[in-house]
Amino acid sequence: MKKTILLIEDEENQRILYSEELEKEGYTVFTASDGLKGLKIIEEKQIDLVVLDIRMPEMDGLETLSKILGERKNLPVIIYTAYPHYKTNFMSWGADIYLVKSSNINELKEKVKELLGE
Amino acid sequence: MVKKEIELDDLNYQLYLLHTICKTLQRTLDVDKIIHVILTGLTAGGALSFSRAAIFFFEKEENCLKNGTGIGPYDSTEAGEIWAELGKTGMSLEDLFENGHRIQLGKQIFPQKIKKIILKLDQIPQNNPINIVLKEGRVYILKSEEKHLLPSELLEVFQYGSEIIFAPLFIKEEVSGLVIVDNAFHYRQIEKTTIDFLSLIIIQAGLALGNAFAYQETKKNLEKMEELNETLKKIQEEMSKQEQLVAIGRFSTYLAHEIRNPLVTIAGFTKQILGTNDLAKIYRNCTIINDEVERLEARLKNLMRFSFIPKPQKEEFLVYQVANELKQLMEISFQTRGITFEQEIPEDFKIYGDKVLLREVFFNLINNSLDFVEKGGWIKIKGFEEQGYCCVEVCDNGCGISKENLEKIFTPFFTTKSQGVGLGLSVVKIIVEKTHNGKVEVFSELGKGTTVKISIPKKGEE
Repeated sequence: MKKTILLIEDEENQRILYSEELEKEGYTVFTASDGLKGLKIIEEKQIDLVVLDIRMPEMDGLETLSKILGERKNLPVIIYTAYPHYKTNFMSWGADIYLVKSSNINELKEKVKELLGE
Repeated sequence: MVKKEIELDDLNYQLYLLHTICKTLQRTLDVDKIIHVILTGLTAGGALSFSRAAIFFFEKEENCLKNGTGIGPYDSTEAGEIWAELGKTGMSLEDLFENGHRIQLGKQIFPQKIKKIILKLDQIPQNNPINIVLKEGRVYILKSEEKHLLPSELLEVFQYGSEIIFAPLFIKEEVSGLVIVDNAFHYRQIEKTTIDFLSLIIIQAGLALGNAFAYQETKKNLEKMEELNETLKKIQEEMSKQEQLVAIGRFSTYLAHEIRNPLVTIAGFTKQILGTNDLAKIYRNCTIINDEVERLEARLKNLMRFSFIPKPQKEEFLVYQVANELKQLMEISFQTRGITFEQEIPEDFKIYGDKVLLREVFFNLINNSLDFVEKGGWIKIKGFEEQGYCCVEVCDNGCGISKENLEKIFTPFFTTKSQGVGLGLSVVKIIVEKTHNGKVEVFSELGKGTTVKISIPKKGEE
């Protein structure tokens, strides 16, 4: 059975890019443009991993993360952001991996594989 | 008859001495010099002619007399030496007052011994002459037969005189010290007029020392204030450095989000093109890349806008018209957010300035208000003249700005908006203050709303 990934990202072009790239790896990818929509998908679908942006309208990444941890403590979360700054206090947030966006999408793919135990 | 003439001569000399002392004391605020003048005056030959003179200061907290200064020989041998040396210098009384503290006569035994003396008053009996002088504030003449009353350290230095006079030193109506003089080595009896003169000189000394101490205190306070000022300056410099760091931090945050995101997207889609032959996909990716490049360009323009404000092209323009243009331009935003936009600008109200730049100012202010006003709220733009200025106010009944944030709103890259860049108000400040020599003021109350007031000098007063 295919593993499912939820990508929460406000920039449309990045949603297209990352979902296509992850689908290429054989995953089913759901996307959401903000935290609220993302949480709804987590409730409705069987999600195995979340890729989460930080700076988003409505509900930002950190608030979303705290809600996810409240609902499904064991759901792996990768923070995928353009900001390198938050990395220093990322450990206290409870996400599994903090990854700074770069032109090398393979980094993301590898971390996804690692967390899904493949 | 001859005796009378001598007495008159003495009196004349004493008056001359007093006059010279007063004159010298009036010219100085230097405590050491004042003490030197007093002690020299008391011991100068031909006038009061005391052999030695010493002054001690009363330390209230320690209840003791200390910080003594003395002038004069320790014993008769030194007395002979000093008087001979003094004769050789040929110094006048004025010279002695002005420069005497720079020459050291004899072996300085007496001054050194005086310097070391500390008289603890609670160790001296209450009825001792010293305590009587300090308590009652009067002169005490100690005769030879009473010398046993002296504390041992004083007795050691004043053992030779047949009379020792203790006089209180008053500074600002308080007994603040003790002057001791004696007639050692010549043993002439001390006359009543001499004691009166002594008292007069000590009164002058008290006045001069009072002024000098007040001056010292003021000087010390001034130095302390200067020190504080220096510290404050350092703190301010440190703070402005911190602020700059914070601004740089904000700038890098801005770069991270606004520049890195499109770059990453462009890189991703470019790599997809390189790995596919699917023309439709290549076309779609190129379109996305083009969009992202345009976004990047717009952001860069925004940044440039901040660093480069063109030279203003000033003209008189109707503010009413500009506000109308903005109203039309922003109508959709007002409608979708359910916000009322009102104008209170007289139709003939004009501003002398760069119309394009000031339109940007008004736009930024209204745009800011839009983000803080809730549905059903209002934004008003007002125009009026005030003391040589043409003023435009943009007011709203939005959530207001906290006191803490109010200080930061003009700092580049400061923003509380999730999507804001934090340059809008910085640009407003630069356009109004730098290019129009005007003023920007912000009045805000949390929960009630905000008013930003722009004042541009009237034509001819800019």
